[in-house]
Amino acid sequence: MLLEAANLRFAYRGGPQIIDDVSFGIEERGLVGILGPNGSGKTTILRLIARALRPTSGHVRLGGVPIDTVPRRVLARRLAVVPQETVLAFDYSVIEIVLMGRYPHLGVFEVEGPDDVGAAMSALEATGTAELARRPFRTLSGGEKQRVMIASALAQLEDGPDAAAPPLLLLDEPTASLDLRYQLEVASLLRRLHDRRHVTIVLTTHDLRFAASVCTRVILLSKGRVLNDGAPADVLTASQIATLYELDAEMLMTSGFISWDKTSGVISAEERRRK
Amino acid sequence: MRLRGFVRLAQLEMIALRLLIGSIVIASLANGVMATPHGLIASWPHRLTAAPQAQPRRIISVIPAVTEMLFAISAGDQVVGVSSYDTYPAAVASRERVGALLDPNVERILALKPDLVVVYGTQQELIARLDRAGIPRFEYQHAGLADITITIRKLGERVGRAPEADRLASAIERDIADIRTRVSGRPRPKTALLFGREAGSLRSMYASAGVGFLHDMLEAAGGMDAFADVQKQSLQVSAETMLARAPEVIIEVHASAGWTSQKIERERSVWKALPSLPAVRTGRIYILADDLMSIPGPRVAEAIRRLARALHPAAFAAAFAPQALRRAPPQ
Amino acid sequence: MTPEVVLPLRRGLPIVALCFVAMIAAILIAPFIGSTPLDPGRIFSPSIAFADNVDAQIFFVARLPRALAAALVGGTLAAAGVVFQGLLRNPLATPYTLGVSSGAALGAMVTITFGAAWPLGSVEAASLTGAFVAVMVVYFLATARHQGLSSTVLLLAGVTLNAFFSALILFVQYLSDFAQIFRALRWLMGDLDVVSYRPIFSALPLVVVAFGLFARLARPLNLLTLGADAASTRGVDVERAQRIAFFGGSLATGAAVSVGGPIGFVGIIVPHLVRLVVGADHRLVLPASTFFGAAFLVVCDVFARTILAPVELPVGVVTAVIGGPFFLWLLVGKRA
Repeated sequence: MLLEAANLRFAYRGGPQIIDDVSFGIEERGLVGILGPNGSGKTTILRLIARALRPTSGHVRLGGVPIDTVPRRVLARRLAVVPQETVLAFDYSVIEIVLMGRYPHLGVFEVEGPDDVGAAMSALEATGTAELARRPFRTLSGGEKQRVMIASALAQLEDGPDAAAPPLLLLDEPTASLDLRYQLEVASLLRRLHDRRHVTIVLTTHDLRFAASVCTRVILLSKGRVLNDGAPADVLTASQIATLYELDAEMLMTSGFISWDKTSGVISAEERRRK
Repeated sequence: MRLRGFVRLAQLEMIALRLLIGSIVIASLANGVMATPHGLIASWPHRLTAAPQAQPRRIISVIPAVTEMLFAISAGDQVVGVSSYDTYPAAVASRERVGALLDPNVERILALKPDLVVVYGTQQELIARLDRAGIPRFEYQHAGLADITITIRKLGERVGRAPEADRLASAIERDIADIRTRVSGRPRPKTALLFGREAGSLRSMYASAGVGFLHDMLEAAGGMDAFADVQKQSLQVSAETMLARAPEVIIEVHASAGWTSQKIERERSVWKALPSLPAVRTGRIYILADDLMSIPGPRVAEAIRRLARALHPAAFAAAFAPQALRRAPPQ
Repeated sequence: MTPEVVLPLRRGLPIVALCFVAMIAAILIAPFIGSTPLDPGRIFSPSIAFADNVDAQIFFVARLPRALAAALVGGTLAAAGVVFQGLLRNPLATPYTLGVSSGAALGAMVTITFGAAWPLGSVEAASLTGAFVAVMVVYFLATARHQGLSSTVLLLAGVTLNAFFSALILFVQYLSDFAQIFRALRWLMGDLDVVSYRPIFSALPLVVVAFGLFARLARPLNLLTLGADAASTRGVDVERAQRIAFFGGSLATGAAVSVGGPIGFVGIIVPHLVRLVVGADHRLVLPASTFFGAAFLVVCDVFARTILAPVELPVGVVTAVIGGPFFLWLLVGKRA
């Protein structure tokens, strides 16, 4: 078990309970989606896992070690977060943003070396954004920005045989502000990272389709509690969806695959319908 | 029966009406100087344009120089209110304080029921309020040395002390003429006349620069303004400018508060930072810390004498008591 | 094939070096320029006694301390501006946004008004004390009910403090007489005529400490741009970085204001211009802004003391006169 969350509870001081007794485990090389409507606490769960927040009770363990005992920089090399949206106050270029991911690998006054640049370029290539390296971040499209942020997170993670624990990538609503084309780009990228680079991925989303098509496992979160937890086919039933979103629903499942040709930029999808 | 009732009622009404009229008359007499905003009970016998009275008995002065003048022409008993900054003569301590140039307390001024208020020409709001209340005023404008005696004479006529005012003004003119005579023919030293400097350093120095009351005093005392060409009442002087002008004498004028002889020595030695100044080399740095130095009033001759004594010590070897000061009224 | 990437950091270094050279040049040349023509031969001539050497005194007592003070204040304000802009994630933040200058102003004005009657020390010391009080009040206001220093709460605390201290300043001015108000107003416009090296040496330890803190902040400020959460998940101790930025920036601003008064626009114009040339990496922006800010203020001060000689313009007026059109240009440029 790579990541373990046990009996997490969280509320802001004097506020309502946002997370109410949540427990789950993430296996190595999982691709897990936390699915829930707005306000269900998905982002809070992610922040608790990433140690941006401290739970009022319960604990999170990474590789068996409670995360609040892990030094900040060490944690940052194992676990990286891609935020939902990135708005910059100042004008950085893409390569500068990706190199910011190398922070936990460098000393206070250490300057980025060839290893760091190599890691950054490799991350850019993995996300298909290498040609954008010198562009200012603000001139990028939504999908490109998201992929650059993923690259920044990848550059942050320790990789290879020296890694003490496999890298864990957390994404907060990775497709929330993207249109279909970019959603497919990001989805395809995540799948590739998972399949080929063996990155463990946990993401939050309220997009059913995205969760169903990308994730190997889905955790349903409703009002701060886990409603269900398992493979999409088992968990995403009509009745579960109805409970989760508090509406009448009928499930129509299709299966297929999406491929994205990096060089030509063509996205094709094949699907077969099944009830 | 009913007719008698009516008559009784009518009589009562007549009595009530007479009482009302009577009280109005009495009230207007008692409140001779006050007027309601609508002029219903118009102040009588004053008019809104305030024709002057022969002898105002309740004078308020927001100007320290004029307060001194009033006391010096024996009109001190007629003064009921003074400014917050008045310190001379000692009798002002018993008078009401009504604010000053920037913050005159109009309510308090009106509450004292003055029949003459001495104001600065620039105190527009106060003037407007006084006009509305029908209170006569004496507008004080001051530009230079000559205005002092002009003002004293005008003031004397205004408050019914014309002979005393004329005597005072003449004495001041004689004293100043005497000083001019003593220093005439002597070379005028280039003088930096400073009225502001941050304590302990040579920052924020403000000097007289060719125009104004301080300049006039310096000129009468036989000095030459080091910054006369700039033609401003005050000039912030940098260290460089001071070094470039190289004054032969430095005179600092301050209010008296807080100046002990130790402080004077301390502040004089601050000038050692600029050793090339002729004034520093010869030690001709004078700190005159007395309120009278910056008040354009009856003691101006004494102020000029002090300047002159600093500039031309040889001319004042003998004791010299200006006539104007002998006339300081008893308290 | 990946394009050859020359890191922005490397490309920006020559510009930082250029700014440094500009600063040194400004400090060395400025004392030779002024309304009084100087003879360089006389200035450095060892045969003339210093007490008699007017040229040397103008150079070493009047102008050189002034140039050094301008460099110190300009560099410090520019760097503080960069740090506060990074802390508040807003390029329009200034060193004065969080209330340090109104505290310094209050301290200075209390001394100017009441300093004759009560032993309150020098205007410098009082303005430093006032700045310190303001910083502590803002810090406690901002951390009262929250963990950490959120930039919104900081901003609110700073605005609150500015409003409150401005009211106190008005009250002190009401109690002042004409001459004191005049002096207070002139202090507010900035004055670098230090005449001695003492104010510079007094402020120097504070500035050195502040810059020591800034050096550690360069990279964390970069990451803070992404947001507090994004920085924290990349390993930045966000709370600590915010605290260091806040106290370091306030210390630097307080020291600068105590020397020359609250000179405006340096803390916002300089970082802006520098970012246009070197980009946004704080490891370049901080040193470049410091050097360029120093040179900038030295030049502004030369203008201030020569344009209308012997009348001297307050240096804050010169920076404001540059600042207005600068912002206009920014506005027009953005809309174009």
